[in-house]
Amino acid sequence: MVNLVTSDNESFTVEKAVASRSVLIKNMLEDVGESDQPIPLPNVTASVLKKVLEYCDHHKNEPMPTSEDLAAEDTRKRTTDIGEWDQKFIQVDQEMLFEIILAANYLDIKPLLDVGCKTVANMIKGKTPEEIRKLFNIVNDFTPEEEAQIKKENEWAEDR
Amino acid sequence: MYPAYPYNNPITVSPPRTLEPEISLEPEIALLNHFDNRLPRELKLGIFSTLVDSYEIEHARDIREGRWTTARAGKEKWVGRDAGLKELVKISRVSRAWQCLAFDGQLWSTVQSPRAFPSDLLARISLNAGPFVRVLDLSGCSRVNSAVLLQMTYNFSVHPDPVPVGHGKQVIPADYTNLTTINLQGCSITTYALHQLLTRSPCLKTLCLRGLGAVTNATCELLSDCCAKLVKLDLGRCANMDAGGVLRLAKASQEHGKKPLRELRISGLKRVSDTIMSALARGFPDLEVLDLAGCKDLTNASLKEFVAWSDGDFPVADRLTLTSREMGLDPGDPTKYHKRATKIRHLSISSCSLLTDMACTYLAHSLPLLEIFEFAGLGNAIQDEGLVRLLNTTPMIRKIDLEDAADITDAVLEILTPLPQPEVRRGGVVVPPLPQPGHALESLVVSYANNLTVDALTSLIRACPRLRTLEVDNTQVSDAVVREFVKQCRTRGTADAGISAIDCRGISRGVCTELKDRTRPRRGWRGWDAKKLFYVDAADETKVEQGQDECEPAKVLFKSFFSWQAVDTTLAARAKVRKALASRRDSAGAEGGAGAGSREGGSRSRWLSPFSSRRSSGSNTPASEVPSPWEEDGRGCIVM
Repeated sequence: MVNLVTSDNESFTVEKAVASRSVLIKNMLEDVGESDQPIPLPNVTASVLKKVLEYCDHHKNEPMPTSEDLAAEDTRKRTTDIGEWDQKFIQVDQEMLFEIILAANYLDIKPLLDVGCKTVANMIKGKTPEEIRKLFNIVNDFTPEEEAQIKKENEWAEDR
Repeated sequence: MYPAYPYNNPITVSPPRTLEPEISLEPEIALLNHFDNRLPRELKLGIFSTLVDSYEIEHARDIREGRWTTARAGKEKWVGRDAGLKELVKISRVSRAWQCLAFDGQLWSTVQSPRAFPSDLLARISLNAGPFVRVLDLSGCSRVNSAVLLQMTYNFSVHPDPVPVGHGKQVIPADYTNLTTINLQGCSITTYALHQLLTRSPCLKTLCLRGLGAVTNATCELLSDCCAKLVKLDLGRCANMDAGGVLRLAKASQEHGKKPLRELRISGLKRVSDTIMSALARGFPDLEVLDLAGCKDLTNASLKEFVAWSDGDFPVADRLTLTSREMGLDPGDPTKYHKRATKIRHLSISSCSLLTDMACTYLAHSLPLLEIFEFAGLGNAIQDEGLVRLLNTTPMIRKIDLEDAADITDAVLEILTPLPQPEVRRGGVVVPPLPQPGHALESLVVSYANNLTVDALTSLIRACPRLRTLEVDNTQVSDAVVREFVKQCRTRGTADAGISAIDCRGISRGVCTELKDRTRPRRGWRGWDAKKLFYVDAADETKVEQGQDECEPAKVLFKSFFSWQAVDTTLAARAKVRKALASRRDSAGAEGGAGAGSREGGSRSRWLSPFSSRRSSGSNTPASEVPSPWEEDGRGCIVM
């Protein structure tokens, strides 16, 4: 069992197989060896870690992607679909979604990071710039003149 | 598709824009922009890159799963990576921050102009992507002029900081780009702009300047000075340069000692001489692809020079020792001769009007790795003798183009027909037989070779297991040859196979009808650009009622007079149907959209009416009663 401590000082005790989905933790365990010392995760809060561990627990028996897999861009490209369970799992509010992406990046859980990135990409896909601004609460900081200019430049792309 | 996410529509209203300062900024603070504020740049770029990739993956999956049909291709202009890049350009309109992200160099390391990106957009991309860009492919962008190219060159360049050299002086190192591949085919640029780019591209490996008037002999000089890592170079059909430039390239390469060039395309080069060919051999000894098509001054002797051996200039391992007979000289003469074994895999010497088959005699034994040999457009200058001598020594040969060689006979085909070899055992182990010429043959063009017999062609088709393309226009081929080809391709499961037998007296209308279900008259493909060609695609229609499915790679392409006729008939019939549908749609529109549901059913009867009225009055004519294009009229080919 591994003991993880979040930034808000909550501790989680999980199986080694679950914690090892995170390459960061896996490497730490390998470096430290068998020890009961808690592993501090100063960049992750309890609510996010809980969610991330839920993911790790569900995928604990899958083979870890090898470094070769990661090197071959193709494998990532081939699998565009998000699994059914992952899809349900990632249906969270925007804040949590981005927190999960950040945590997956920090903890080095490549498959989870992929799921997060694909989810955001799917949210953007096919939307007009105005819809995207609404979606992420982005302020349009182009001046009307600039916007007209850009629109004109992009006319070629408007046809299907 | 994925279900809509609950957060797709935030509960709160859209934030006010800064352009309207009268509205308080408070709601904006309440509504956090998580994307921009929380994620680091790397992750944002990762998401954008996932977005672009997803288009590519989806398109590949559509093709794999048969959802990509001609009808769809005619509606979707932007697919695959192009669609992804277009999306990227679109989201650059969201905000300044997004614009900066969308044009980040990491997403644009390949600047390939998909379907005419306007040149001002290319300039904008180059400005943001800068030195990240590795691949610049502007082929076909006729709107890219010198000014744009100069601007891009500046943008792609790394501008190193000045290096102090003491005494208050400093040296400013030269700018350089990280480009490894450049293709400027079809751009309208000047020599100056081209040279500005090339001098700054020391990492260049692949360069295509085909057909550019801007290329001069000075360009070649510059390439030899600045781009020492070139592996592939295409200077084909550059009208303002001649062999002098190539000579300089070759000499420089010989002097440098580093000779990485593997592919040299200099088709249509003027003033090729023995000296040039000899310099090529020494300058680029590891050349694998050499395109000399249409070099009007190339002689047999020049090619002899290319494979000539001279002590000290080449590695000893490349030396061949041949008998007088092998050299094509007096068989009784005991003298030994030397030649150089090259690494050439692809040689094109088509339309070099001074050549004869003697060139092949000179090249025999020196091209042991030859896979592709183009020797077309020389008419009666090609006789069997030299050709047979060369092909005998090229066991790896895959593609041969001998179009126009009217005098060649079955002897050439026999060389390319591998014989069954008995199993050889040495010490109980099966020794793999030596490869024979023809075992790898994929494509053979022998159009206009009127002396070839049906038997020789048939044995070749049977003996060459990889044969995929056979062009026998204007020859004696008969229905039996076509039948055999189609049969063999179907048995072997050869994809994209094709036989062309246009202008052949021996081909009857009957064989076209007979093979109708196994062949297609045109090699149809699904894409926006194929729209006007109106390919018949079985994937679009439950039943192809007019013509044959043209988009199925398992079907053998069969071109003949009659199949072309059938294409015309089919196209005319389908055009009629389209017209009928359009006029029906118009009238339906006039009636206020009434009967929209029955439109499909109604169109069916129109579909058949021009043909079926003779035989049946009902709209449910059985398909078998519809006259096929093969029986459309009795006209045959009168003059051949």
